Amino acid sequence: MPQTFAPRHAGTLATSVLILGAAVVLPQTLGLFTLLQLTVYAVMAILALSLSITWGLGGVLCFGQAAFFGLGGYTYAVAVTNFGESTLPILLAVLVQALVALCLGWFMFMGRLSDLYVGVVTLCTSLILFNFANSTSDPWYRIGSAALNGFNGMPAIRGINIPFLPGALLSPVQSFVLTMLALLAVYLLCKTIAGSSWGRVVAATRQNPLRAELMGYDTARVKLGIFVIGSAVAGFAGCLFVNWNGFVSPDVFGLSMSAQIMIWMIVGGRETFVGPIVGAFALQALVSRLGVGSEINANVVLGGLLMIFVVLVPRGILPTVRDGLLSLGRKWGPGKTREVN
Amino acid sequence: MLEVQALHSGYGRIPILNGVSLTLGQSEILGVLGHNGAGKTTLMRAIAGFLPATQGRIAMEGRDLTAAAPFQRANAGLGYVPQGRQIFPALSVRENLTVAAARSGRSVDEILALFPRVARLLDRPGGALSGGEQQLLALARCLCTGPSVMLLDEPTEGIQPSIIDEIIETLQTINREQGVSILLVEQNLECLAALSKRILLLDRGTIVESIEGQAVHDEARLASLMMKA
Amino acid sequence: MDLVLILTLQGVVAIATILLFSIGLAIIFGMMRVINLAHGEFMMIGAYGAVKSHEAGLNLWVAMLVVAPLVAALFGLVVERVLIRHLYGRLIDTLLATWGLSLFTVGVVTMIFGNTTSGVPTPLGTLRIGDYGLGQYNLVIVGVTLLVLALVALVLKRTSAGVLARATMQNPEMIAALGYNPRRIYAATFAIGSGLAGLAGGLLAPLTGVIPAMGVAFVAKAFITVISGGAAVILGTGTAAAIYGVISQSVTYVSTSVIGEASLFLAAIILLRLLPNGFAGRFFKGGV
Repeated sequence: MPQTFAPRHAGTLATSVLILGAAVVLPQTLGLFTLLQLTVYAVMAILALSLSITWGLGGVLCFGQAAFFGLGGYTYAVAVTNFGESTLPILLAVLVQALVALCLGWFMFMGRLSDLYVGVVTLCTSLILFNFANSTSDPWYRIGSAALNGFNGMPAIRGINIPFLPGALLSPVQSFVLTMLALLAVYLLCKTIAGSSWGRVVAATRQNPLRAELMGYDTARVKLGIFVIGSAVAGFAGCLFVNWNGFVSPDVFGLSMSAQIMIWMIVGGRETFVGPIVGAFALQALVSRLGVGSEINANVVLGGLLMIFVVLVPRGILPTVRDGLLSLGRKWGPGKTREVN
Repeated sequence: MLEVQALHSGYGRIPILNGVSLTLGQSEILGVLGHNGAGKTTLMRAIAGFLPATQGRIAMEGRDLTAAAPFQRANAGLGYVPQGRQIFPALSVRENLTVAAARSGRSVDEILALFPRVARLLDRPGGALSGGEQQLLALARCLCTGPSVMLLDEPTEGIQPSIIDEIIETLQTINREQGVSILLVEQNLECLAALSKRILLLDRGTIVESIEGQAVHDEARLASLMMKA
Repeated sequence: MDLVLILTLQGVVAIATILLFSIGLAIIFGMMRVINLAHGEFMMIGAYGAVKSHEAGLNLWVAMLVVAPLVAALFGLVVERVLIRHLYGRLIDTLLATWGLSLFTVGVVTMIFGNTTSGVPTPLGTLRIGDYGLGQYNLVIVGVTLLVLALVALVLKRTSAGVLARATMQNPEMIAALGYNPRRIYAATFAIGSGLAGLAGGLLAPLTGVIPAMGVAFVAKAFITVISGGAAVILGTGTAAAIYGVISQSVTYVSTSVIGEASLFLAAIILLRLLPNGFAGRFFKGGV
């Protein structure tokens, strides 16, 4: 695999400006319904980025990213119901997931589990949570004043308010802007990590763990670190999701949730950070289009795309298109050749 | 028997063989000598079909095999004993042989007559044999497929001297009694000299010298050629 | 006393069920290093094969024991040819692509048959032990599972096809050098594994009901059982099934079935940590 995630400042800047521009301009031009849809797409783009950190950058095959997403959602829901204010709950959604990932990751990486086993363990974790959350219908299952409600889910969850002002709940438009800014922040976080010297150690560990180990890096610790960061970001996405939805149910832990995240990543391009964002937006738009008065089942499209991309375009749209353009540029453009990755 | 013309091959885009040509005659034992990295194993794998030929031609008895899959080449009579023997470790010695003989219909017992040492180990798992025993088993297994040409990739590598002599004798018998032609890649000069009447020197992916007649026994000269190459 | 007997029987049934729906996956994984996350959908296709052919008037037993595996095996042949063939040696990609296949198949079957439950009547009556009862059909499942296991073991151990299969498992390149086409062997293996998944789907149809998404309930458990089992198809998978069956059944007895299932996954996490190469890597090196 070629060296990937190389910092390309021009590209990063362009993407940042694009996200920021959308956050500012779109509320003026689009209707509320479209904005609401775009909000959840952006939340899922953050979720896709979280797997980009864990799997794309860190090479940790996490089949249970939904576990951290869902737990983030539940953490926020329980906390905000108890506190009646959203600042601390948001922090908790992130911190609790980092802590959970630290414990689980310690167990997995210090035990030197192979990639496949890490996949199985993370999958099991999300299934346990799914099963557990489904079995909490009994009113006995409550944390403080928040009843978990089993498979019925927790309804009417407070949204995010302006920090420390419980009365100032964000409007849907403000939520959209907040989510877009969060997406920008997470994107820049990804870029910063990948461009840092630690990020290069992470990439080295992904590409050749043995060699990285022989160079004196503790690969287990490196993987643990990237796993914790990715999971914390997933928890953050979960919290934003519940803010958008006002509702959380065990479905957030489901297999199809984890599958979707992988599909966005693979279709967009798992070697980049823009790819998963594009994948998340494009595929959700496609699925919601299909949902309206169509005979075609969304699963057929998603599953079909996943198969096609794994077999025919394993690098995903963005890297393939980019390299295609670059090689065209080399062919037709002026003499200066640019190093591809 | 086996004809290789201007063969190019390599791993991915990295070329290893740059136009190797050789002809293996009926019942001939042809040696190929080269130091590490000269392309010996690549040559064997390309002839056996596990590496695609990017250019050139491979033919057996006039039949073009350049594009054939490994199993088709095996069925055309090309036997391959790879480096490191590649015994099926969890199969018994007998099963290692029967799986090879099932296709050709050759009698395992007949072949075992040539390998008394292997015949005593039939019920042991292949992985429990010593390196030398495994090498003998690999030769016997290859013979079970009924080949007319055998490709041997360093059959004496890492094997104790007493068994090396046994391997050399066995190969001579196979060659003499069954008329099997052998293409032998080696770094062991003694083994090469004992078996082949003709030795090709392989360096950086091409044949740079052909040694024939008495010269094959001049180990000092072979060694210096290999060093220079 | 009756209670002990019935609990033991239930445990045996639980183990047999896990084994039944894992064995096909175990064969495919053990031999080809391909993990088929669409395994549950192969079961679902078998189940639909059984249901639809029974509705069309076929004898229920024939539908479950013959049609279900055949339909799934044919489906497997097509899938191997179109999809899996491109992915040999890329373990993680097989996982992803078959995950896609799983979604795709569920979607297509939903479009054809709708998202409704089709049922098959549970044949046979109830076995009474004192105050307790156990469906006699459960015992049929145990019987068929034992038969399948015995057959697989016999084929692998005693027939030349089995020796060939085990040899391919250990070194596919060498098998090609001996004149066999590994692709044909893989295609056959995949079809057999798929057929066994279909058989499991057909046999379990009366107990679970048949809906397009029914596979989801099995795939994770089968996946975990097979990975925990490691490379030994029968001994490894058998041990894993036994441990998970006993654990989930006992926990179910003292709490609920949902918690029982969760305990199975928890046990898997702990087991994988203790045995990073599965049971086969630790106890049955080179066994089948």
